[in-house]
Amino acid sequence: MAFTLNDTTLGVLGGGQFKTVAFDMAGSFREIQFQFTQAVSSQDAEIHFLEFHYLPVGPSHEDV
Amino acid sequence: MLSDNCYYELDGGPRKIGGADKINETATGSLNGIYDAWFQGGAGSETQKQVAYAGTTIQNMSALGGTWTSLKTGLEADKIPCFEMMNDVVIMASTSTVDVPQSWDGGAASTSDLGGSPPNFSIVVEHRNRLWAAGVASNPSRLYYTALLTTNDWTTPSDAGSIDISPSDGDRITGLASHKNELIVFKGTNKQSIHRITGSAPTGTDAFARVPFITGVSAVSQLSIFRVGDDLVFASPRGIHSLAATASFGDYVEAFLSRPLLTFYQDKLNHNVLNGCQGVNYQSRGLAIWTFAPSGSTTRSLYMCYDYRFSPGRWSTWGYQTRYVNAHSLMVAQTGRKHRLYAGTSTGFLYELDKTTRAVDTTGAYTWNVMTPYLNFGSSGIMKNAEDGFLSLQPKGAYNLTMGYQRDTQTQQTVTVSQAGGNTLG
Repeated sequence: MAFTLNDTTLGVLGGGQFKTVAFDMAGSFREIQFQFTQAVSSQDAEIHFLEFHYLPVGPSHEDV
Repeated sequence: MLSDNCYYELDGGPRKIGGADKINETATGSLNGIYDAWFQGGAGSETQKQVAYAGTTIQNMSALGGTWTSLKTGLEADKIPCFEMMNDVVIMASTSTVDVPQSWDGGAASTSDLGGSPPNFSIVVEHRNRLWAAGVASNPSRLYYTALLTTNDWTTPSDAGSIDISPSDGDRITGLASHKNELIVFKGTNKQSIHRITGSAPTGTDAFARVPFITGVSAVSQLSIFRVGDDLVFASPRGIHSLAATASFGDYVEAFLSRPLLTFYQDKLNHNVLNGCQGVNYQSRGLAIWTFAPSGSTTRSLYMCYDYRFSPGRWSTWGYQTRYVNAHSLMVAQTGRKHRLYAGTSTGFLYELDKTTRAVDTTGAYTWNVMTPYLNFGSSGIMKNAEDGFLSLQPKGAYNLTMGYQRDTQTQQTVTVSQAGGNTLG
């Protein structure tokens, strides 16, 4: 019998089968900050990985 | 970096902290201190009681049953208590210079003044089968101890006694801890120093002796000192420390446990009431937790949590940016033989924390809020275009969480992330 430490309800190993959600982003930046919130009663949240794609435009002296 | 109302899963993933359930429906006084007491008795069946310093009273509750019963009234309000257990009685003292130390056997209808002509101490611990006490206003640097195996003999010559710890050096004794067969004595909160009491008896070949340990760092309050693993941790006026790191590095700030939070510690806490700081080792989650009054408040409602499962440890706050249950006092107590975390509020309620349902009193909301620093991906001089992103999460229910991103000084843009359903990428 396989030994399983994890429990998806208890999250013993901190997760299990993750759901990966893709999202579009837009706009230019020099620096960027990410924030995650969950403010609703009786609602939980647990995140694990964030992958972020960007394209360098080049040096810029524009005010941003 | 912000991590509020959050703890970490083992891979470092941030998760919303559990909810809170109220234990007593009828408020008692402001819960300045709470203690989980176990009385062994002589009949082979132990009894669990909670003892609390509530407003101007001492209260007790049976096995977290939800009803506070008064043991003593008429105390000075809102003093900082200290509890210890020895000889199957609870000893309770407070920072009041008027009220005297109390004892309670777990069965009597009221507490009694501690016998044996004790000094009017505010700090008490058991060490080597004696009670050790300090925090006496008239002798702020004097350490007292009882006769062997007694709680109420403070005067028998050559058995009970006292030791002066650098008297009149500008500080007073602020904390005591029995640790590795030594008594650690903390003095503060100005010059700050730590001392060791070695030895096993007042006289003889292994007589009690004071050994200076370090200067420049010390504990700000008795209740901020507790054991984590093979170490002691404590709060000082400048941060959070471990005794082992202090022994190695002294007041070198790089060795503070709270090194990433030094500015936060100085600017966001009310240092006028720092001596009320309380902490516990919540081993069930690997968290060392201290509770402080934030700037502008005298209610301890800001939890600073140090996850010692990681190396270096990871910090988070509870109740910093949005409400959680205020923790005017903290306690780890057993429920169903499990060690659970409890908070006593300034409004007189005892709460069990870290409950599965993410709500306070079944309906109250609180906000999980995690924010990264500004990231420049190597250079702030290079303009970049944001394209897309992928967020991996552990779904918790058919509802959403919100992800925001802020580009430079632009208004934050938000993305609603659904936790419902399966993996959207297949």
